[in-house]
Amino acid sequence: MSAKDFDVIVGGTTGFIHGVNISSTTNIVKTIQNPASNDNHGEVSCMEWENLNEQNILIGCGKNNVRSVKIYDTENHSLRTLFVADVGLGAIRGLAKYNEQVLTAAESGHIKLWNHCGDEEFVLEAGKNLNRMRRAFMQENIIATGGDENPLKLFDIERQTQIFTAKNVPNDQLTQLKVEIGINDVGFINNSEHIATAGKYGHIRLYDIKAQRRPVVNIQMNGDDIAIKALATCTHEDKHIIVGTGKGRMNLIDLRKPGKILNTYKGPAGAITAIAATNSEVVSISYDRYLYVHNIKTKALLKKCNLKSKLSAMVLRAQFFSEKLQIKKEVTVSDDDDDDDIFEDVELQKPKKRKCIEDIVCNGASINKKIKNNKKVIKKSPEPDSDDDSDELDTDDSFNGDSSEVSE
Amino acid sequence: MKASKKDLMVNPFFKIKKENDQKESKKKIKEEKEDKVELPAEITVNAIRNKVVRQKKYEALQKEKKKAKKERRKARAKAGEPKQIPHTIESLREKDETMIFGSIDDEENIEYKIDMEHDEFASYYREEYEPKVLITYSDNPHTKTRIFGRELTRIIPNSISLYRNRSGVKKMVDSCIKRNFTDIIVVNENQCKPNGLLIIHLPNGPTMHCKLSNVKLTTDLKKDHKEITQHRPEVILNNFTTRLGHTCARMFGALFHYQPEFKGRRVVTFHNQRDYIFFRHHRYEFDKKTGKPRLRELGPRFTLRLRSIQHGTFDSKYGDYEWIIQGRRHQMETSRRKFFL
Repeated sequence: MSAKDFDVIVGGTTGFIHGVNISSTTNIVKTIQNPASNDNHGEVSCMEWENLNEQNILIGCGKNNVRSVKIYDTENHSLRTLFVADVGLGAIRGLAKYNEQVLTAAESGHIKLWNHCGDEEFVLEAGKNLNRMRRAFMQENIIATGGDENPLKLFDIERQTQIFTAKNVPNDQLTQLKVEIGINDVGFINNSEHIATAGKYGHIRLYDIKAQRRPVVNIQMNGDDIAIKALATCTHEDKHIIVGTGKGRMNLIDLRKPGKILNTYKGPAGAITAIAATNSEVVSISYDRYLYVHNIKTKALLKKCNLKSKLSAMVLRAQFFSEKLQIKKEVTVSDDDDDDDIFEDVELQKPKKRKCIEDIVCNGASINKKIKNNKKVIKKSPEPDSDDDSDELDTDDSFNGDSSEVSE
Repeated sequence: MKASKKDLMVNPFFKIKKENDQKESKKKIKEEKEDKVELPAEITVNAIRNKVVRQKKYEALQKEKKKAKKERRKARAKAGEPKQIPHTIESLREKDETMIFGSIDDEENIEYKIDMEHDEFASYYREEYEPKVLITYSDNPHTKTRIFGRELTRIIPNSISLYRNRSGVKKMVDSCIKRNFTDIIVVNENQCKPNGLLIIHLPNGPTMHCKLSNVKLTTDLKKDHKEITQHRPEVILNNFTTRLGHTCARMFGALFHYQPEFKGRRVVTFHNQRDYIFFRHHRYEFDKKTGKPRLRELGPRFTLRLRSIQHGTFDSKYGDYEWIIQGRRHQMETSRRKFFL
């Protein structure tokens, strides 16, 4: 098993880095970095793909003393330390690659572009208590930051300027007090103009930088479990995000106006520290030492993988899951339970429903054959409804008469 | 009406049935004649209607059964068969993925070992510092809670008990870090009885919240606190099997000094059974003639049950939990035989 096949790479609070290969039967876990090794600098605070071709992973390690940026090559599976990030204070809260240079954001708000040739190094100040820095997918030069009492800010790295600062929502209606800002995660939606933020006071906000400085959508989580730790943007539908809280609640959120909290994904028993979504699945890691895979739409828990240490950061390969799903689907078609087949058929063509049931009554054993053949016919020649009907008739006749025709 | 009557007359089955009935009835009569006076062979105890007689008979029956069982057991022992192990909820426990089998130094547990070597308690288990514990209460503690806290100070070496004075837990954490405390224990109470224990490890957490029940103080056990000596106790952490259980055990262990004074022969036990953690405090002594050890309980005793473990120091609202059962009890407690510690 080569490291290229890892679907998920996770980092732990003690300094573990694991590569995980998730499949329907078994999970393969391989340790990439061991905290017992010499170059362990402590908690893996941040992980990011270097670029969209998903070969190299930038890893931010360390918390208080030595903080370093490492790079993991998934093709040659080699991990090496790039440099020691000695700017600012606190853990590395965001990493990005810009023009072959690495951009880091420390907790103290210092964002630095590291250039080891010496010249173009610069430091941006994004304010104290920075909790997250992310770069836009499409526009490489735009980053967003946010933190405790540190509103959403957008920077243009090329021009080294701040291009947007969010304005806080109006004061609380009852008390006329300022609403506290506590952004824990930010995410770009589709392009660099829509940005979602989520924070520890349960606010989920969508900003449209072209429209206004205040959020265009503002959702408040309810209940006592509201401190959002992680956010992930969805690709399966427009303006959907998934958030996870400090007590293990995970929700799908629709950010189209007026904003709505949708699915709840059950399973995690501890704080969710990172989420990543593909078209149909959502992968999350938690402090309870498990990695969870849920189906986004059905909410079903597909996979639960024990990784033995508290997990704090993760990257997910984008295509891998969709490929695997296809394999899974093929398997289900080829040797699925027969009952399911029946229902699938029912869904395909309503008039057939009655016939199927009758058939079950009269002959349970041979019915399956017939349905499968029906399916084949449908698959081979997707014809208009009238033709389908005739097909049905044919098969029905043959069922009553001789089965040799059916197999053709 | 007429038509129906006619039909009945015509009904061919009717006649046949009648004939059959006649045949059957004849057979029955014959059988009855053959075995006339047969009483039920065995009268069950339940069928006896007199209560006194029924009870007597029942007792006798039970005695007989026991005797038979004993004999069977004897026979088995004679034949040299191995003793049967009874099924208990614990022995039938559902296997948990995170259970750690064997020694922590085994090769299969190496990952857990490394993980533990880098967690928050690692420096204690490397014996780098001596624990210093603050024991405090909820505001205005009642007598029982106060006495309980004081008894905890007798058990845990290098610990002091202070009143909270309406201070917040987060404030306490800050000031305790400044004063080089390594742990804080907060005893909560309800209805004048201690009912909760919050243990915070300093300076970087974790924080554990436990339900506290069945508190028996030394006086309740009719023991004298003067029996408890100043020696540092030995600590036994028993039956913590999963990774979560190990975290708990490490947390309890880190409250006590790592070097026990064996001269005092004091033992503090945290025994986990079905996720309940039983605390006992003993002194052992060796019989001078036979050399066998004997235990003497010193008290107090109490039971803990884990509610949550939180990463970092106390922040119940915005903190990151490592494990919490609140709100997902039905989801997690899927079976009577599933345990987390």
